[in-house]
Amino acid sequence: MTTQAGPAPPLAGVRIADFGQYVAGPMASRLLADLGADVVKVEPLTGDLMRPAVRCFEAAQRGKRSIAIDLKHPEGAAIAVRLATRADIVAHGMRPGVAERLGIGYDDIRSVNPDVVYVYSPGWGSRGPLARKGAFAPLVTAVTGVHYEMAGAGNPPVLPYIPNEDVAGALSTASAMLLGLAALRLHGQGQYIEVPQLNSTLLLSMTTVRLPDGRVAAPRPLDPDQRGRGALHRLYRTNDGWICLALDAEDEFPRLGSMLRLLDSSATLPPSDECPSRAQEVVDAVSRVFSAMSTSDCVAALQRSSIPYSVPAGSYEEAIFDDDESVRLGRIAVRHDDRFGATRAIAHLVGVSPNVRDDGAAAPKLGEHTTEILQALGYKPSEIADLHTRAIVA
Amino acid sequence: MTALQGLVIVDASVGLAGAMATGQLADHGATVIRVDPLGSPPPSASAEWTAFHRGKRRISIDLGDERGAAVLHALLGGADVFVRTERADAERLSLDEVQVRRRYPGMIHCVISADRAMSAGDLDADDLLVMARLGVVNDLNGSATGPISSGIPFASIGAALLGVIGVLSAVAARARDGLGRFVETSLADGVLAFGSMFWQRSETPTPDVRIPNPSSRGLAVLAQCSDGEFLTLNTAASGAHRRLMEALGLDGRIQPAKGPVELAEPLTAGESEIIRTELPRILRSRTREEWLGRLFGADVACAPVSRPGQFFDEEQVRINDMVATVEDAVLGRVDQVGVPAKLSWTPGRPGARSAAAGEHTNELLAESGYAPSVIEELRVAGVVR
Repeated sequence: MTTQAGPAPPLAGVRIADFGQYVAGPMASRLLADLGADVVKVEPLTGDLMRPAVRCFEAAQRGKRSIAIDLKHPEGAAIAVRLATRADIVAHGMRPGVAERLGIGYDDIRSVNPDVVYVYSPGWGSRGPLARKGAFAPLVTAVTGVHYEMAGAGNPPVLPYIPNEDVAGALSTASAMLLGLAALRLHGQGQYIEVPQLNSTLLLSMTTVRLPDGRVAAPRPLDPDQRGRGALHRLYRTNDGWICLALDAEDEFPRLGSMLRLLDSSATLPPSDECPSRAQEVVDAVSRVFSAMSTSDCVAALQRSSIPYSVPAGSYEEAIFDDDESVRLGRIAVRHDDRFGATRAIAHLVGVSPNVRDDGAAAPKLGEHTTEILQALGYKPSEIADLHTRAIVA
Repeated sequence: MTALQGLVIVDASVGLAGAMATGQLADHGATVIRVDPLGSPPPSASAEWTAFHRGKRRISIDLGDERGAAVLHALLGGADVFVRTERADAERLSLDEVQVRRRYPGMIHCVISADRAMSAGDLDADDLLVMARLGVVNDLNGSATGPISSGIPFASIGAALLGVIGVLSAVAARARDGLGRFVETSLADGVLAFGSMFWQRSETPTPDVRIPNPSSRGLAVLAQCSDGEFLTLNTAASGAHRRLMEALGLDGRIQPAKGPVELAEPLTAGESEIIRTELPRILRSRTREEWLGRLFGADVACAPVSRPGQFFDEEQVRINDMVATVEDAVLGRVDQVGVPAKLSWTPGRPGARSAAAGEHTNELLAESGYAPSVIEELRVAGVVR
């Protein structure tokens, strides 16, 4: 990918060899590609199994280069080792033992690249009864309690598509890669790092603790109607749509109370919304008043009382893709795809000055960069042609 | 040794995102000085926050007082990283990008806002408000019709983890070139991170994987069992669909795939209908424990749908060393979610203690050169606590 002239992005010159498939592991190195890293994606000759899921593949692989190798062939494995020898970070998520059988385990790579940061992201973990079991969505999220938390108090669990274990895994694995890189540069040594997807997904539940008496202290659940939690943090219906407000602490409750009395002098409120029955009284009082008002009148009332609010957009489609500022930030990437035409996708999500301005980098086609990568590894044109002919690369 | 040993971080953020971000960095050895605000609504002291306070040193400051601002700047003088949320008074306090860069040239300055694409002050950094503005409240899975709130603050969680990525990349770069950097992310970016694998727009529409295809052999199911408990299962693995049909006793009615790639051979319309009606009914015929045992034995990927906090007792969670026992200053000895990344040479070390607000005020002021009499004056004046 090209960058603006000027100081380089933070991860310029960092080389990553990514042997992962699907979403969680690969999206991690894609996040690092966003910050300037040079990421080579190693795929089997038939391609990453996620390729047909176009949107997932794009989100996990944009900004990378692709080489397709038959890793089971000894000469294919040799290419992989040569690639890993020159990488700062090597990453994969294969089942325990598979990388070692292919000759690209940590010990194999470390013997030729002592400073390598080797990041392994298995599903459940590398040890224990679940080590060899598939960790697919929504199974990992199911274990964390999220399915109940998204459902609302007393309701049966729901199956959320967001948040999910794939992105939790990606964000956490990206951090793990960077921790390894930081430790290498600050303290002089690479290392093996393991970051199971189960561990990463538990980050979604970090606000849940267990008290000394054994009781679980989870955050206040969503109300059964799923519109919010109590009166202070909630979606309310208006006569032409919806509005939501968010007040932080119990001592901001009087602000809501005074707003209500301005709108309806007969409204009586309990002194706080602390217990559930009182909260329902307040919800009902606010709902009664707002449902008779237009959204814009509700906005005016909330602004007058300095209550933080937001008007829901109809869908993410209308809110996200046409936002000019998001495009300027490189957060929405605009490009032409030869299969699907004009395309808009989510791109850079964290800016580190100088920002890497998006230039429409797409996910690579299968083996799109095989030849140039082999050349950079020192293979001669005749050797490269031969490897293609014998289907060791594609 | 820890990965971030020696790195000093000042966290003056408000809200979950910044606290979680610097908490991740504290877990890997960074010295984190947490600045809690005085003079505005008190910070959340609930159990929700205990995991984010572990390993941090805490001081409470009234930044509305110029002496308080001076204390913050004294702390910044010794810091490598400064994490804050966007605030209207940043310029007045000399905490905006330009002034921080001028005063602390090597500083890694990270700002988390509600939405990088919006002007400061136009939107509060709150999960519900941000998700509403992005239209996502109309796009969450739930039983209610109309927009719904999220049970998990994943805008803030996403922003926290993006902040960690930005700060760590700047730390790695600075180790080479000695330069400070400005890192920006937001709650909106956190939401977009989670949605990025589903949300795209193109002239020729691409398939939306959220919508399950009833004729696919790749099932991702949530189902209730006879004891009222729920399980999930997934048949994306090779041969899993056939093994599931056998385990359910449906193998006589559903033709197995002929070739090696099950997912490439969809079910017929009749078979899809059988799955739709029979799968829930059959799963409801036995308890969850029975089904998990049978499916596990048949090598069909499955998992119980656990209630909040049950993961503390989950065997694999313990094998993975993902329960951290921490002494909380207010709550006592609590179990928290541990450290996800296991580094072999510089392992993470979750702090043994989650301090109370202001627990380290005196020491931090003394270390910054404040004499005891001055510290006392500041306390009496309510500038620090």
